[in-house]
Amino acid sequence: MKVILVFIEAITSPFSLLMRHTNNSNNKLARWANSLVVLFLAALIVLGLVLYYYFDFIFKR
Amino acid sequence: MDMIIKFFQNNTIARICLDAYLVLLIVSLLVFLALKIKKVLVLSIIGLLIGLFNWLAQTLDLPISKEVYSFFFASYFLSCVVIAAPEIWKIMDAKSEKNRFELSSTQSTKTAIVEAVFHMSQMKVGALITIEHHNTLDEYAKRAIQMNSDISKELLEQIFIKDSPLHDGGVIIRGNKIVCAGAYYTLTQDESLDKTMGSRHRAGVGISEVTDSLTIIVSEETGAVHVAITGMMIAMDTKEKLLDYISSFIGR
Repeated sequence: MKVILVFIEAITSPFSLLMRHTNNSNNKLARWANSLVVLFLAALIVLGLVLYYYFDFIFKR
Repeated sequence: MDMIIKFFQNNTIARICLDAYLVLLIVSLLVFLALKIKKVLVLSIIGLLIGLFNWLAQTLDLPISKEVYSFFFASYFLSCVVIAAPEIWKIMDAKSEKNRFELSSTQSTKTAIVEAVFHMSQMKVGALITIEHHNTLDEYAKRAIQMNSDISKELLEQIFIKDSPLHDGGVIIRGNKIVCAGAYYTLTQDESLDKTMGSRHRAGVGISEVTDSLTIIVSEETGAVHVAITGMMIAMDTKEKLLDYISSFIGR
């Protein structure tokens, strides 16, 4: 169980580091750099890339 | 190790997940930088356009465009890192979370600040007081005169008396403490600021542009009290208005 928890902490630590830095903003554009917005936009981009590169595997299995 | 490699080679879904996770790490960092630093956003948009034109040139087999755009595309990323390096370094260096207890001020502290400011305004004593919020002001404080004193109306007024060695520059307040006096800030380059505003006002606006702090400015010429926050200057006509402003700022 401990190994699993350490593993989960290791894979999520880059994102928690990112979240700690996203909220101290002092201009309108930087306020948009809320952690959820950043992750959502990044996830959308990655989803597009995955669909583009793995199209054959996903839709023609 | 061989087992792990074989697992990913034989299992396409696991490979997709790992691929997506690795790309998500770098893409989320780029999206974060693009949203936080205007320069990076502009560079990203230019990079996407160069990438698009490069792809067009390769697809349509345009010999001149192919050479030019592939050269620019290859060196573009490194150039961006060099251009945006100072801002990226500033973000990595900044302490993002300050202890909320350390940042909060008691009612007596807020009252002392307001009383001192309006007394100095009546006496036409120039003052520059910056109240730190989440963005650290350590880089300004370390070059100033360290104090780490409790805040009182009398102490603030004493600092800004004309012949006091501490009167030049600004005072930085963190929570219920005066961190330092004689702190110097970069002046704002904003040309829309009233020409009658001197360097004290420009310094106050300047620090508010690069941090999320609140700066109280008392004019030596007119005694007018202003507050500078996020690059804007707001006039404070009454003690109650300034007290409300400070209370809501510190409460954020």
